Amino acid sequence: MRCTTLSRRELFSLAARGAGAFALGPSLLSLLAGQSLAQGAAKGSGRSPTQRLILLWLEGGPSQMETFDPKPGTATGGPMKGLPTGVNGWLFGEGLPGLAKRAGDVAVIRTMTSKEGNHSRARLLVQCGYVPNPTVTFPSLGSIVAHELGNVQHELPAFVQVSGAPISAGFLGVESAPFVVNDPTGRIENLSYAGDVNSKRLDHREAMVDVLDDEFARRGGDPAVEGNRAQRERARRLMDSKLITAFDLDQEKDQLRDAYGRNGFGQGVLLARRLLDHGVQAVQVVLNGWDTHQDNFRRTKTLCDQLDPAFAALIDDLKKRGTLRDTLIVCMGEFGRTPEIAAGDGRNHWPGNWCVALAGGRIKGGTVVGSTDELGQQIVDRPVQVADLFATLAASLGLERDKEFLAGKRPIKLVDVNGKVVQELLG
Amino acid sequence: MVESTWLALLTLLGAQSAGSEASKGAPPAAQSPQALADLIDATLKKAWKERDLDAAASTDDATWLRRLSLDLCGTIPEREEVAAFLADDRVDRRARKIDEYLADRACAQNLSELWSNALLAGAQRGPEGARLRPWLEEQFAANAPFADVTRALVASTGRNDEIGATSFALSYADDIEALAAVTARTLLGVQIQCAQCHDHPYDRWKQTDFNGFAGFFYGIRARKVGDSPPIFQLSDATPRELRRDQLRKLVGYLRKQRMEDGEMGEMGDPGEMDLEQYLSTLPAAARERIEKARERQKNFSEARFLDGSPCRDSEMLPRRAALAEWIVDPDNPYFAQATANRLWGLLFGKGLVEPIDDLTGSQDKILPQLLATVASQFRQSGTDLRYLLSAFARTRAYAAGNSLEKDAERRADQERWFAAHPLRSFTAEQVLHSLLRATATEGRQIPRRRGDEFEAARRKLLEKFRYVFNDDEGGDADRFASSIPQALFLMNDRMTNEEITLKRSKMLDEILDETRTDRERQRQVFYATLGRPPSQREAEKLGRLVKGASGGGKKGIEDLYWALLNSTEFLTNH
Repeated sequence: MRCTTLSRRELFSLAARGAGAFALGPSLLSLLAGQSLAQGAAKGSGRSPTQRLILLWLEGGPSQMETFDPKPGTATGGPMKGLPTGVNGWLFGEGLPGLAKRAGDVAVIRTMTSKEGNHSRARLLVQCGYVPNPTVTFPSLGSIVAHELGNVQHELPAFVQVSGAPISAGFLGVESAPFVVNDPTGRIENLSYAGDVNSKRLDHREAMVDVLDDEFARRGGDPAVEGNRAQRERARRLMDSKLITAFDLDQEKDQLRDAYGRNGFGQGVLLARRLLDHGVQAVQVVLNGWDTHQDNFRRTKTLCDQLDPAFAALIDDLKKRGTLRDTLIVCMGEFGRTPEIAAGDGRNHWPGNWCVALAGGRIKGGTVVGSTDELGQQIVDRPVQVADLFATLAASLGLERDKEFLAGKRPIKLVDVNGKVVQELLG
Repeated sequence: MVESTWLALLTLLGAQSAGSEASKGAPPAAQSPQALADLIDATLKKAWKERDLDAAASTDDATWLRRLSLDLCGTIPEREEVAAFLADDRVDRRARKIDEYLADRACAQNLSELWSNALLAGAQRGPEGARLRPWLEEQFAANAPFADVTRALVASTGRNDEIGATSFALSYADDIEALAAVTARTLLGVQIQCAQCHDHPYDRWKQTDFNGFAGFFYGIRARKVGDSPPIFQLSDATPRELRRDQLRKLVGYLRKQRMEDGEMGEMGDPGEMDLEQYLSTLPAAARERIEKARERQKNFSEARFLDGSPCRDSEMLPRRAALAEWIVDPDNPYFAQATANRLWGLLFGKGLVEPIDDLTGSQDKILPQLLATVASQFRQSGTDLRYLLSAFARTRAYAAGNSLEKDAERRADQERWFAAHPLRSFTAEQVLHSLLRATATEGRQIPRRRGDEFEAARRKLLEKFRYVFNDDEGGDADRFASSIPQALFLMNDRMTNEEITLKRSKMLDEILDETRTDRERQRQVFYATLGRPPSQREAEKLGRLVKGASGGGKKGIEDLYWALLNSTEFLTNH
C-alpha cells in the first residue's frame, strides 16, 4: 500500500468542487494525515455528536408474529411462544432471547402500516421514505445519512451495504450511493494494482481515459461521464487508502466475532461497527430470506438465530465503546406477514401492521409504540406511517428534514413533509 | 371467447386493436418491415411536431453499427466488421446489416437472454431453469413463431433435457403464485401480483383475479428423474387428482391447526373419496370448519382467465394448455402488445409503455394507437420476432443521435418521445460479451461449442458480472453511472490488464502484425473497443500520450487499449 498523498486526480477532483471548498477543509487535512474523518467532521461542522446509522434490513418481509408482536396461544399465533422482556408485559418472539434481555435498550413500533404489499415497491417505500414514483429516483436512508452527515470525499465510501441489491442514490449523486460488499469475511476484489502497473502508470492511463471521456461528453455522453469519473476517483481513493483495514475482520477478537454470530449476517454487523469506527457514516446489512410463504415458523426461527445474537452483540459492543448514543440502529423489512396462517404453514405479505425495532442514538429504550388486537389483525392504537417513521429517524439523526433538493426541476424535500415525529420514541 | 369482454379489455389498453378484423376471415398479410418503419417514423414525427420537440441529428455509420450489434446480438461489433462496414458505400448497407444480424446465431442468443432473464426473474436460480435459455436460443435461431414458443412455455410437459421449455414452469414448481405472476407479467404485460395479498384501491386487478389466474398452474407436478446433470420431469395432475389433492391438503391443514378436537369428531383418511363423499362422513361441525378453511385457503380450486371467464376442467385439455391457447388467441390484446413493447424497449431503450411489462397499470404510456398498430402487424406476420425487430431497426428514429440538450428535462422529453436516443448502460450480458470480444479472449473463458460446458462456464462468468455490473433498482435516472466495484474491476482485473499485454493479447498481436504506422495502430484499437475511428483531437492527444509512455510506444499501446476499455463510452450504448 502506498502512503497517502493526494494524486493528481484527487487534487483535480477537490478543485472541481470549488463551491464546497469550505466544507472540504477538514477532509483535505485528514486525507493528508491519513486518519479517520468521523471525529474531524463532527467537530468541524459543529454538529454534536455526528450521528451514524446501522440499518439491519430484513429482506422479504419479516413476520411480526414471530418477532416483535407475538400473539402466542391464539388462533393466529402459531406454535411459537413469547418471551417476557422485563419491560412490563411486553413479549418478544421466542427466537429473540438476546434482545428480550436487552429490551430496556430497544424501542419497537408495533403498528407500522402501509399499502405496499409488493416486494420491490415496498422496499423502495420503506428504505427511501417516499411512495415509489416512476419519475423520481429517491435515495435510500443510508444515502441520505451519507450525504447529509458523512463526508463523501472520505477515503472510504460514506455508505456501505453488506450484501443485497443496492438502491441508487438518485438526486444525491453517485458519491452517496452504497458501496456493496457481498461477503463481509472475504477480500474486496481487484483492490490492488494489477501486475506491472504502478501508480504512475495508472495516472498515465487515466489521463488517456480523460481524453476519451472529454470527447464522449462533447458528443452527448456527459451525464454518464460525470458519474463514471466520480466512481473511478472513489475506486482509486479506496485502492490507495490505509483505512482499508477497516474491512479486515481478522483484526477483531475471536470471542467478539463469535458473539456476533459466525455467519454472513453476524459478521456483516460486526463489519458495520468496524466501518463506523473508521469514518463510514452509514452501513446497511441485509439478512435475506424472510419471505416465508411456506414453512414460516421454522424458517423464521433460523433467521432469528442470526438476527438476535448480532443485534444483541452490537448493542453491547457499542455500549462498551461508548458510541451507542451516536449510532442509530434501525431493524426492519419491507412489510409484515399475514396473521392468518396459510397452507404449508406459511404467512403471506401483509403491509397492514408490521414492526420496526430501534436502538441507540436518541432512541428511548424500553418504549413500545402502538398495539394490535388480540389476533394481530388490526391496529388498535397509534398507526404509524412510513413518512412518520422517517420524520422520527430524521429527528433522531439530526437531519434537516425540510432541506430541498432538485430532482430534475422538481423540488424534493429530504424527508416526506407529511410525516409526524413519533415523539415518545425520542429521549 | 366472449367478444364483449375482449372489447372491454381493449378499451382498457387505451386503444382499439386494429387486429380485431383478423378474426373475421383470413388475416391480411403484414406490411413490409420498411413500410411499418415508415409508418412508425411518420407517427413519431407528428408527435414531435405537436410537442415542439427537436429531433436529434442522425448518427454516423459507426455509432449506428455498434448500437445495432449491441441491441440485436448483445455485443459490440468485431474490429474487422467495423472496418468493412465503414468502407461499404452501398446505399442499402444498413438494411443488409440488419438482415445479417437477425439471421446471426448471436441474435438468437441475445433474445434468449432477454426472455430467460424475464421469465426466471422471480425464480430461485436452481438447476431446474438451466435448460431454458439454450432451448429459447434454438427456437429463436429457427425463427419459430413466438406464439408457438409461448404455447410451449406455458403448457409443455415432459423431461427438461428433452423439452427445454418445461424448465420455465419447473423453476417455479414450489411457488405457483410466482409462476402465475411472472407468466402474466412477461407474456401478457399484466401485473397481477400486487393483487396477491390485497386489493389495491388504484389497481384494477383484484385478489380474485390473481387467485383465478394462479389456478391454471395448480396442477403442475415436478419430479427429479436424473442426477448429474439433474433432470426434472414436469406433468399436470388430472382434474380428479387435483380434487383429491386439495382435499388432502385441507385435511392436513386442519390437523396441523389442531382443530380436530372432540367437538369436531374423528377425521378419518379421505383415501380415494372425493370432497363431497368425504364431507358426508364428517360431523356437521367439522364440515363447517372445512368449508371455511377451504375458502380461506384460497386453494385455486378454480381457474379463471383475466377476462373473468372460468376455465372448464376437462380430462382432455389440462388447464395450462387451455391458458396457452387463451394467451395466444388472436383476439387477446395483451400478448402481441406485451411482446411488441418489449422488443421496442430492446431497440429504443424504453417501451412505448413503461414499465415495459405493465400495460394496464402504467402511468407512463405514449402513443397507444401506435403500439396497437405495431402489435397488429406483429400478429399478421405470424408472430415473427424478426419481422418486428427488422421494422424497428429500419426506422429513422432508431438512427437518431443522443440528445445534446443541456436542460435535463428537455433532454428527458426528447428521449421519452424517441426524438433522441438515450444513453444506456450495458446489461451484465452485454458487458461480458463485449469485454470478451474486445479482448479477444472468448475461447479462453468460455468454450466455443454450445453445450453443457458452455452453459456452465457462461453462467459462472455471468454471476460474477451480475454482481460487479449490477443494475440497481429504483429507476433509471443514473443507471448508467458505474459503481466502485465496477471501476475496480475495469482498472485492475486480469481481463483488462494481463489479457491485454503484448505478451498475451491475440488482438494486439494481430494489430501490430497488420499495421505499419502508430496512427493506423491507434485506429485499429479504437475499432476493437469503441467501434469508431478516433477523432482528430483524440488522435493527436492520445498519440502524444502513447509515445510518452514509460517503456516506450509499445507499452503506450497497451495503455491506450486499457484506457479505451475504461472509458465511459466503452460500456455505454449510445
